[in-house]
Amino acid sequence: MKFWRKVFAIVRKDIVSEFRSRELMIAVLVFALLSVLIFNFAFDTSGGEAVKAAPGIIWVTFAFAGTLGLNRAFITERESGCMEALLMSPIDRESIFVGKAAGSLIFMLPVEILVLFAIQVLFNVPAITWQIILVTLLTTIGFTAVGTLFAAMAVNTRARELVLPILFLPVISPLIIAAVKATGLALTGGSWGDMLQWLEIIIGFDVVFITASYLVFDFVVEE
Amino acid sequence: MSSLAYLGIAFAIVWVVLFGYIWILNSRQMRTERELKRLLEEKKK
Amino acid sequence: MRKRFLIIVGAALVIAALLLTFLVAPPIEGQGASYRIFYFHVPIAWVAFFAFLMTFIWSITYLVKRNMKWDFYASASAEIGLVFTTLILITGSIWAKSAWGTWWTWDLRLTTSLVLWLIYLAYFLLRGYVSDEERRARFGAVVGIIGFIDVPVVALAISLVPTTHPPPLIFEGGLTDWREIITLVVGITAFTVLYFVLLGQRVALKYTEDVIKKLKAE
Repeated sequence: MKFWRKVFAIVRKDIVSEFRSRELMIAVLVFALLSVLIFNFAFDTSGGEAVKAAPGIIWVTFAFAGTLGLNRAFITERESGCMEALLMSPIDRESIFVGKAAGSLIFMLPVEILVLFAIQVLFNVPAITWQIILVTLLTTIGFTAVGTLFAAMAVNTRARELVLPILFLPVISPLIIAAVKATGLALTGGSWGDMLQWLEIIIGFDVVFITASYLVFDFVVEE
Repeated sequence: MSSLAYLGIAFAIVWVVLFGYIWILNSRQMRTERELKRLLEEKKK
Repeated sequence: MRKRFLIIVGAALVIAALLLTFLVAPPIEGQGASYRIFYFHVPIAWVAFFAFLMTFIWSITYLVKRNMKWDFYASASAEIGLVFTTLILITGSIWAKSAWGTWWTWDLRLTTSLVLWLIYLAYFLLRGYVSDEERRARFGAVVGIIGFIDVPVVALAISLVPTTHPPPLIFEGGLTDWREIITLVVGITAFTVLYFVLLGQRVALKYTEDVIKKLKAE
């Protein structure tokens, strides 16, 4: 019970400070929408073609916007000197990890929903469905878990914005593959049964990597 | 390009890369050992 | 003494493997001479995987024991693994070109190797950007662990993607001819010995460089 209270405290701190400076959330959202726009020029999205291009567009956008959003979880800590204070407090490292990851998740989901709305409106594809929302939620969970672990490392390097995507996009490639395939099936009216194998991969990935990241996070932030 | 040619190229690349790597390691080792010797001499003075 | 022995054994095995690959292994119907790339593509892939397995194990060892020696071994193994993964991509690509006329195919082996290559490239990139030696070892260990766990997941995900391209199924039926088997086994053994020779060299270099660094610090 104490664990969740600590996690909640960290999440609340993040959200409160994020809410006050809404700039970053808006910046990420604008970036995501712009990327959808650019993809519209890059691909033939007229009529039936849109359905083929949409899953890729959606997930590339999420991957890059998400990477931007992940950086924010630790940059503010480092710059304001908050990390040291956080580490010196009696809160254990595992709670910090879960808190940070949850914060990034809560940050990302609204952005993703809005992007899905935009895709539905602009490309006339059924993007807002329970199937796609579930895929997005499950994928983003794994994404933020691994991303938080790697962001904690990237923030300590000399070229942090560069290092994070290079480091963690290959690692989450199975997530993206599965998400794109599942989204594609959902957009073309596939049933839950069709999507099952991809959902299994996403969930399997989440379980394995949340556990691994949770266990290993301590080693990343020890100072 | 004949099948044999492809085989030959693949083969050549593998050995060039492997021997290249060994050669690089070796020359770095020799250079480093020379440097070490030099530093040890200096320390004696 | 032992090092010399290992090198000689390795060289002998390599020569044996070459002879077997070109002279003994039987030709296959419908495939030109280039199918023999298989006989070094597979051992190379095995070594790359083995190298990363060792990096994984030594990474964990480092995090537990905190002796720099384990980081030397882990990063040396990763470096060798990266070199060998590069070779997988190159030989696989040449084989693909010769078998199907394209330099690249998104089949399971090549795509997984590409992702593996990127993960370990990132391993070195990350280490390159970290100035503190202890932190570099620690971060490297984390990536070494997470990256290795990722490999089967990547392979699984890619294997489920329906491709229009049939992978080279020639050997899926299993190797039946004893000549094929022995060529492969000798090849794998030869490259494994090669791995250990390279590992020894690379780690020795790390130690020497470390001594110099410590001397200079005085």
